[in-house]
Formats: sequence, C-alpha cells, structure tokens
Amino acid sequence: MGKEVVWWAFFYLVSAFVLFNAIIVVTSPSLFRCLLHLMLVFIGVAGLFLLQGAIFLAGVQVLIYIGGVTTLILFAVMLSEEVVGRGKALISRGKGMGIVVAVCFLVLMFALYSSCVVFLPPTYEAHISPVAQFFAKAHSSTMGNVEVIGVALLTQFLVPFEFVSVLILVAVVGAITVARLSGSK
Amino acid sequence: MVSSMMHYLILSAMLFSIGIYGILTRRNAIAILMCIELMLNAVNLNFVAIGAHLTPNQITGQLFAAFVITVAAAEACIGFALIIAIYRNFEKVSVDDINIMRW
Amino acid sequence: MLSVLLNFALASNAGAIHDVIPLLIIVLPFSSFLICALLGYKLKKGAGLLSLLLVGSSSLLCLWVFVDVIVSGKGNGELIQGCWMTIHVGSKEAPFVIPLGYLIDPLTSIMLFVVGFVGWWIMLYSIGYMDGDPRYHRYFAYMSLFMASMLGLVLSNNFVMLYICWELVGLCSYLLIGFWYERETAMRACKKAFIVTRLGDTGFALGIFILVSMFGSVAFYPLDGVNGIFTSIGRATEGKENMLALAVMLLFCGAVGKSAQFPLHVWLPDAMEGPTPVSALIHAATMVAAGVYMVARCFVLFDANGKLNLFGGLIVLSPAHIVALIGSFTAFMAATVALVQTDIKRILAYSTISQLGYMMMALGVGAYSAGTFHLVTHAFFKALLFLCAGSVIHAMGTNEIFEMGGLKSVMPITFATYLIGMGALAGIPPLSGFWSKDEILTHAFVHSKPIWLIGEVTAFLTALYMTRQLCIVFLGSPRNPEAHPHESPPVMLLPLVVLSVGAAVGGLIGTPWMNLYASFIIHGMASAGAHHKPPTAIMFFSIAVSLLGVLCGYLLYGARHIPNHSEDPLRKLLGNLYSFLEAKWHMDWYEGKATRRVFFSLVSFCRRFDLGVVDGFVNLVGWAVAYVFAQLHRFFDLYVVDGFINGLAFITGVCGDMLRRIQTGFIRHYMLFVLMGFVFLLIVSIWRIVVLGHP
Repeated sequence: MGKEVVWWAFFYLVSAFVLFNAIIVVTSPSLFRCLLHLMLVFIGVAGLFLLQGAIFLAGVQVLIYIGGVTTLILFAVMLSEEVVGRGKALISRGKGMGIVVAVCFLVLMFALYSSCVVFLPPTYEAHISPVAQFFAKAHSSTMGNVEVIGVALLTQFLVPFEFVSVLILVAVVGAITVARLSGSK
Repeated sequence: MVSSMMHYLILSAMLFSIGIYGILTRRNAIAILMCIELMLNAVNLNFVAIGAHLTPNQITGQLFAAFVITVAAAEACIGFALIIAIYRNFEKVSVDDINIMRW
Repeated sequence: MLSVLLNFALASNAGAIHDVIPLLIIVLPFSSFLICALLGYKLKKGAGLLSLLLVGSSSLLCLWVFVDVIVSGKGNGELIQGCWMTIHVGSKEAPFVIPLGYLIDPLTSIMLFVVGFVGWWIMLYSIGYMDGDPRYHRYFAYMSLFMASMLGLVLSNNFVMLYICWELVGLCSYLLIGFWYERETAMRACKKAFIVTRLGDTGFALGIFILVSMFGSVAFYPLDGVNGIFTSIGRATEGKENMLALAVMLLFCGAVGKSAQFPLHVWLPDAMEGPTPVSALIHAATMVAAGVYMVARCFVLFDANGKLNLFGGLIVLSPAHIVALIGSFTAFMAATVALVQTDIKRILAYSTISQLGYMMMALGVGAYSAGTFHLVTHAFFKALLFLCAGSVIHAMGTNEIFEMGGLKSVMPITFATYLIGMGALAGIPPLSGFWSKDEILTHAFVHSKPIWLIGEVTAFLTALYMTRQLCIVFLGSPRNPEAHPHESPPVMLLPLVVLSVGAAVGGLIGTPWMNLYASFIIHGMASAGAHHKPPTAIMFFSIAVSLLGVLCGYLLYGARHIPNHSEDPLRKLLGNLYSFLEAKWHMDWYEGKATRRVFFSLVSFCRRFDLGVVDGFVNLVGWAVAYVFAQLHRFFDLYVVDGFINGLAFITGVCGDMLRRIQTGFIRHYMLFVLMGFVFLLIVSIWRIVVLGHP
C-alpha cells in the first residue's frame, strides 16, 4: 500500500509539472521560453512513461525529443532570427476560439471515456497493478524491457521498422533539399 | 480504486487540448510546430497507458509510441526545414502573414 | 372477285356453217394485218398483193355464207349462232357470262356480202392508187385490220364484241385518216374524228351498261343458257319503259357518232383528208354504215314499248321518233351544205351524211327493210362515186372542182361510171338508188307526212348538187390549162366498172312488185315495216322530184360554162342563205371556238383550284406543322436542354465561387477545420455509443 501511495504521489506531481509547462509553452510570447518549457514537458512525459513501466520508451523519449527535436527547434529558432527584439509578432490571436475548441474537445473526451467504461474487459480489474509491476521489474524480463522491444521490432514489427527507416532517410534528404540555399545547385 | 489508466487518459486528453489551444492561437510557425509536438506526446501517453492496462502481455502500445516518436522526429525535421526556407523567402515566419496559397 | 375461266365451248346449233368459217372470216384479214405490219417493210409491193389474197379469201367466205343462207333458207325464222369461247366474270353468287361468238341471220349475211365484196374491190383499187407511196405496206396493214374489225362487228353476237369491234374500226379510221401524217390538216382531222366518235361511244357504252343491268346479259339472242336481250324484252321491261327508252337513246348516241348524224357529223367532212380509197371504204360504204347496222340489229329495242316521258307526261317520245327526227334533219342539213362545197370529196362527204340520215330516218319510221336496203345500195354507189373522184384527183392533182372541167372526153370510163353512180344517188330509175330511196319515202309517207316532205326536199337537193358536181367536173371545158389529165390505169378502172354494175342493177332485187330483199331480210320481225302496197303516186312523185333536181342543176351549171374563179350562180340566187350554207350552218364556229374556250376555261379553273386551294391547303398544313414543331423543338432545345446544361455549369460555378473562400491561405483556419472535423467525429462516436449501444 505504501508503494501505491508513492506511485500516486509521483504521478500527480509529474503530471502537474507537465501540464504547467505545457500551458507556458502555448502562452509564452517569447519563443525561447517556449522552447525551454517544451523541453521540460518532454522530461515530464518521460517520467510518466517510467511510471507506467515503459523504461525503454522513456529513454527513447529523452534521447530523441530532448536531444534531437529540441536542438532542431533551437536551430530553427536561431535561423529565423525573429526571436530577438520582436516579441510583439508572437502575440497570439483568436484566443477565444482556441479556448472554445480546446474545452469542447476536453469535454467530449470525458464523455467518450465515461461512455466507454462499459466496454472495458471484465478481467481489467484483476490484473496486476502496475505499481507492483514497477517495483518488481528492476532486473526481471518483463514488458518494457529493451530486450523485449528489440525482439518485437525485428520479428513482429519488422515491416514497420523498415518503413520507418526509409521514412527517416527520406525525411532527412528532403529536409536538406528544402532548406538548402537556393543559389547552390 | 480509480484505475491509473483513466488517470493517464484524462491527463493525455488535457495535454492534447492544451496543444489544440496552442495550435489555434499561436502566430509563429515554429510555435505551432512545438504545440504539435505536445500533442504527439499526449498521444504517446495514451498509447502507453492503454497498452499497459488492456494488453499487458503485449508490447504493442509502447512500440507504437516508439514509432510515433520516430515519425514525429522526421516530421519535425522537415517542418523546420520548410520554415527555414519560408523564412529565407519571406523574411518572417508569422502564419498570419503568409497566405499566398489562397484563392 | 373475278374468276375468268376461258373455256372453248363449241356449242352451236350450226348446220353446214361450221364455227370455224366465221372465225376464219375474221382471222384471215387480221393475219394479213399482222404480216403487213410486222414484215411489210420487207414485202413492199408484195404487201398489197398478200393482203388482197387474204382479204379476198375472207371475202369469198363471206360470199359463201351469204349464198348458203339464201340457198338453205335458213334465214326464215331461224338464226345460226355459235360460240367460240365464253368468258366468265363475276363471282359464284352472281355469275356473268359473255359468250364470244358469231351470229348469222339475213342481216348479217347481207352485211358480210357488202363489206367483203365492196371492200375487196376497193383494196384492188388502192393497189393502183397508193402505188409509189413510201408507207405502202402500212396502208394495207391498216386496211386489213379494218376489214377484220368490220367483219367482226357484223358477225358479233353480243354487245361486248360489238363494242370492241366498234372501237377497232374507229381506231382504223383514225389511223387511215391520218395516214399522211405530215399534213397538219390530216392530223387535226383524224383527232377530230376519233374524239367526236368517242363522244358517241361513251353514250353507247352507257346504254350497254343499262341494258346489262336490265337484262342481265350481253348476248343478243339466247345461247347456251345465257339470256338473250332481244328475246326477253317483254317480261324484263315491265314498268321500266323509261329506263329502256333511255338505254336505247344512249345506244343511238353511238350510232349518231359513228354514222355522222347531227350533231356529231362534223368529223366526216374533215375525214376526207385521208386517201380516197379510205374515204370510199370507210367513210362511205362500211364504217359509217356500222351505226345504221347497229340500229338495225337492235331494231327490236327501238320498236319496243320504251317511251321517254318528259316533263311529267307532257311530251312522250319514243326512241324511234327521235331517230327519225335526227335522221331527217341530218339528211336535209347535209344536202343543203353539200350544195355549196367546192371540194369534190367534201361534196361526197356531205352526201354521205345526208344518205345516212335517210337510213336512220327509214329505221326511225319503222322501215327496217327499206333502211337496210338503202344501206346496201348506198355502199355500192357511194363507193363508186368516191373511187371516181379518186380517179379524177389522181389525174388532176387537185380536189377543187372549179379547177377541173371537161373531163368527159379525157376520162370516158370514169365519166360513165360516175354517171351511173350519180344517177343512183339522185334516185333515177331504174338504178339501184331509186328503189331503195323510194321505199323509204313510201314508208315515211305512210307513217309521218312531215318526214316524208323533208325526205322529198332532200331528194331534190341531192339531185341538184350531184348534177352540179357532174357539170362542173366533167362537162364544159377545162379550166386549168396546165393540167394534163389522163385516164386511170386498169387496176383502178376495174373496180369502178364492177361497182357500177352493182349500182345499176343491184336495186332490182328490191322493187316494190317483187321485193325479194324484204322477204329475205325479214324473219320473224313482227312490226318491221310490213308490206304496204305502195301507192304508185308516191313513186312517180319521187321520180319527178329527182328529175326536177337534175334539170335545175343542169340549167344552173351545165348550160353555160362557168369559168374558174367566178361566182357560183347559186350565190346570186340564194343571197345571204348561200353564205349561211357555205359556213356549214355555222356549226364549225360553234364547235370550234366555243368548245375550246369552254374547255380551256374549265381546265384553267381546275388548274387554279388545284394550285391554289389544294396545293395551298397542303402547303399551309405542312408549313403550320413544320413551324409548330420547329418552334416546339427550338423551345425545348433552347430552354430545357441548354437551360439544363447551362444551369449545371452555373450551379457549379456558384458553388465553386462560394467554396473557394475556404482557402484563405491561413494555416490557422485550416487547423481549425481539421479540429472541427475531429470534434465532429468525436460527437459521432459518442452518439453511437450512447444511442446505438455500440461503438
């Protein structure tokens, strides 16, 4: 029971952190600050992954999102040169519409979830609590393990894996082509 | 006790709606892309939570989330390359002012 | 439903005369026609000889029949009929049989003799007359055809065959009048002849139709189960006297046309455009006599109780009255016109009309034997006169009598024969014409005095104009110094002599004291002019009248020579009347311009009606329909079809115009749309879960 409480405490903490940073991301007029808080969101989400037992995924999240995407955005921000001094241009418009749609969406999602509760399988309650799972998986081959994921990638999910590799290649090439200085052919 | 899956789902819904608000509101293209990343993260949370609770013997949920991350990275890459190209041509990245492809 | 069954029913009650002989009588000249027509251009001169041969053999057969009838005495009370084939027309419920065959009674045999004999001699004459003509063989082809048709007409035993042969002789007349078709006058004349006789023939056909409807048959006498018209008069015509009279009058129409009675006489003088032998044979002796023959054949009908009630009984005419009236008027009129003619053939033509009038007059007053006897004698002397005229024309090269003169010495034989013919025509005893004419006048005197008077006046005029012609042509001195006439070749003179013999003595068989002819011709005809012991006074009166006419003629024309281009002495005498006669009683004008004007106005009226009313109506309807349909179509095409298409395009444009505003170019708007769609999907899925019960 104690572990449950810890888990729940961590969960609420991290989720509050994530939400707080997300709100700052969407409201900050400064792009830099935006970016920084986005990075914090990424970290928070990684933490949430950990709490769920997806340890490899959490590592991937940190690596790629914080390591790659954030750096990329940083470069983009720097190259666009709009961040310095011209904060006015970032003042957002149409806030009302945005809030309306967001709230709408939220309400609807709640409605959906509550109506879908009846469809959950009957064995749902009976499975092992992930909390217990979390505390028991330090050195056991349970779900979330790198080994498991690697095996799955190369057996069950081989085709998507290959496709995604091609996709990444194409994306990289495309990005280079698009962003290249038009003078040089 | 309230299951943790529902918590996760509600959380991800809130994150997603924050992302929506951001997309509809922000004027800067880069900022919009950042909000898209937010939304993608929310989706990943959803995948992992449901995967862990509804299919505990399969790793599908997490793996899907991994793929999502990969694709998101690729897409962010191209998106930002596009923004750079646009910036080079238009000297600004405000989506309100770039509306040449209109009727 | 016509079912024509031809079966050769050789049922006859003939004795010595077989069926084949009458057939041969017709077939031989007909074959001559075919050969001359088809092969004549090869035969050339031979065509004439061949036709003479064939027609001659036919004539011999006619003679044989004639003799046989006389000798075997079959004529008395009996008639010989035969049937070559029967034609069945009509349906099973109403069968109708036409028995094509022959009928031989005394009238037929006499006519056969006349046609065969006179016709052959005229053909012999034409060998000489038509010598050198380029269409020699055609002439003989037509002549042979004529002989065949005339003999067929005489032999026929029913109205259908009679009518067919009637038309055929009309056709031959047309062909022969227009023989020299290069001449405009000849062409007009032959057309006129055909058309005028056609008018009469129409009435004839109508009369036949009425008779058929009344009696149910076309045959004259009963034969093989077919009713005979002449024998069923009593019972079939009870109470139908008007109809019978009408039918008979219509039949007489045909005779009026064919025998050139008033008012259809106008074609005969113009018919003189043909060669003279044609005039002699067809327009003097035989064809024009066909009308008289037909009236004689149908004498029973004329004599029946048929009466025409005009004006509701006010005037009651019988056909016989009308026949007599028309005949006598024609005789008188033609004689008056003949008096002032200057063409030798025209004089004879009008003379023919006049004599035909005499025959009709005779039949009209009931003198059957007198009328037919006059037909016989007239055939002889008129043919003779025509042949003499032909001789003269051949010698002189002109038809005008005032260019001739003094031919007596140059052409003695012609003159002698002409004299005999003239005397016969004028009624000088003991020549044949006198006996027949006298018999007619006697009967007329008994039956109707006014008609007798007209007859006597006409006789006077006849003698007068014939003497005139004789004096001017043959007596006196030649008027044309350049002409060198000569006598005709023997081939032409022989027929003249033969016919003159007939004209001279032929009458003796019909003298009043011993009328062989009458007793021969009458067989069982109850009222056919029973013998009256003639008052001899009439005979002497007639002789006196004729001699008076001759005397007057001689005084006027023969006493002193009348040079060419001088006035006719009669003109001084008659004054205005002369010009009236010269204009032929103004009948030409009447028939020429007036009818033409009427005809053309009728034609133009019809044309205007057809073009204006009928065509106009049709065009109007067509235009209206076309216009209406065109308008409908245009309306439909323009507004419905085009409207639909244009409407579609318009709607597309409008929709496109409205929808393109969505593409604002703002990403935010696009994002909004995406998310709105997403929201919508959410709503749908929630709705499905909540309402329907399943996601």
